[in-house]
Amino acid sequence: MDKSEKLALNVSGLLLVVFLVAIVYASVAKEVDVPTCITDMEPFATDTLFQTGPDSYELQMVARMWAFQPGNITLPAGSTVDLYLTSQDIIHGFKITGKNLNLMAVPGAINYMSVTFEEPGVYDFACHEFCGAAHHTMAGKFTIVEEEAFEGETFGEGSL
Amino acid sequence: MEKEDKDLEGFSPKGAVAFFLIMITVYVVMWFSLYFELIGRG
Repeated sequence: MDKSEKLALNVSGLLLVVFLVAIVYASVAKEVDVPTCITDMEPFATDTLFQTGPDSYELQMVARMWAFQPGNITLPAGSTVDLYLTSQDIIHGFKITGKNLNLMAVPGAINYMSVTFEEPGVYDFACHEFCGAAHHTMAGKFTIVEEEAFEGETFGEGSL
Repeated sequence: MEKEDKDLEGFSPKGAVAFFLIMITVYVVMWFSLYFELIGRG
């Protein structure tokens, strides 16, 4: 190997070691936190839907390639849902048919909108931002039932 | 061919080495200025 090539290789290698030591030093001695994804933290680490009032619910939803979690939600008619949406990987869209709700799911950010389901029925929602090979399967639904027939809110995996 | 080899004898790429060292120095200054700025923010 040429003398100059050896020099370039050694200097580059040494620099990588210096950077690595500096990062470890900052993490250990200065207690600088390593960045964490929102979806690794509560409440987004697990599916979350809970009642906050007589007719109001709070829902934390995570979009990922290629599903919404939770993707299948059952609620009584008249429910108002406070929806907090984020993404685990790339940018996704979120649109509920028949409702004026249109959000983007952005990694590292939480987007919020509120929606009220007055009438019983099935309200499909889908990703409207092209997100890869199975984008067309990325959908779920709110099933809104009559208040009398309602047996407690449920939520789980959705599928097409 | 032999003439070219003779010309290269004793050749040292001083310009390339100098450029490389300056480039690395600039990178180090940029990297550590950001590093200390962020460390300073706690």
